[in-house]
Amino acid sequence: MITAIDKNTALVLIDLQKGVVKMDVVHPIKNVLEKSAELVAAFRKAGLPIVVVNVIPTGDKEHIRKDGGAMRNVSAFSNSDFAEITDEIKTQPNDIFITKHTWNAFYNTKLHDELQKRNITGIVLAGVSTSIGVEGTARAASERAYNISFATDAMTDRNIDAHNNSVNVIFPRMGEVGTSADIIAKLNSRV
Amino acid sequence: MITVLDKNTALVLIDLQKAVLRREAVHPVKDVIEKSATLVAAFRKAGLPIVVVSVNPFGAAWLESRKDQYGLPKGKATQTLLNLVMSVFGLLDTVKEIKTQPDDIFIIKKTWNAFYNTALHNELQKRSITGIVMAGVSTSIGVEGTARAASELGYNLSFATDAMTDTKMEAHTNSINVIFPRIGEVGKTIDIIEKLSNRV
Repeated sequence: MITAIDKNTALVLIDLQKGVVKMDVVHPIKNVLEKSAELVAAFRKAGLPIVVVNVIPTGDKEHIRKDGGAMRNVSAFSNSDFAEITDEIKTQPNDIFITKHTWNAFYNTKLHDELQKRNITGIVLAGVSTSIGVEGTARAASERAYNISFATDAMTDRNIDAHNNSVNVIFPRMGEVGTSADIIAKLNSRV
Repeated sequence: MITVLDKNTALVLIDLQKAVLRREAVHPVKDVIEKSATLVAAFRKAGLPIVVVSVNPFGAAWLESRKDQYGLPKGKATQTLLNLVMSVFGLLDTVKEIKTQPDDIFIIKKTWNAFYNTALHNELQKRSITGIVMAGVSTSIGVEGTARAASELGYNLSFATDAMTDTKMEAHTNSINVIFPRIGEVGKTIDIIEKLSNRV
């Protein structure tokens, strides 16, 4: 339950990029993008920072032995619009743009510095995939003691069990879980 | 499937402490400890490093953030007291079934992730470690938290699924079936031990 939003809160959108929103996901992507766009508009109106994260998954990870599931075809994202933010998300030049190479937007990026510079203590998380990029970023945000609010209707995943596990089991242990409307309702009475 | 283990592989055991193992788990804790002890003996015999991770979250800043569910009570005074009581009764110690030796690598973490603000990565790099075998509790919290960070750092990960458990079955199953296969290789303790003697 979203009980409060910190005075200095940033919206962090994970991987709402052309190559990712094309994937098969377990909720209508149209709704996820719509809810994310509503959060962007609300944060913009409140004068709060918006962090737009995308992924170019070319990190050390590609050398690691895995049972499966990873994207291995580098050309699929290096010479295309794979990493371009989807048109539904209206970014502005003074937004914070972070490109990550793993599941975690804090790993080897300037995200924590950018947030600290702005005295941010709270983060609202949305994007794709719930159990990968969103949870990966949330775990790192939790370690760094941010207050985290999860907008569950502005997220989806390729696996419904993984989505539900993140939303029902993992996220409640790191932060507060609610809908975009719950979060927007608290934006004007920040503490 | 465990296809191979790196020549320089370390065993990383997560939170096999009295306080943690007293909680309700979805597999018999006795079996998990037994498999972990089997891994310890095999790594010891192979002359490979053993990392014994334990958690002491008391006083950590992240405990104070707003949450729907609190694993531990908030407040510095309460936590200082809990830390004291647990320390006095030895509840933060690794269980005696895990036979540690003074030259093992001992890491105390404050969060779910044994790499966060600890010497773990440095200790492994010093020993030219490229592979990690993971076991311990809880599967979806400390094991997955440490594994996600290990993956970012480029380690080859092998998961000993019968040497892990969790307080929630759905979370355990999700880690093993969905998350771990995307960051490493998943198998049983015996599969890992079989590969120990012909490492590449």
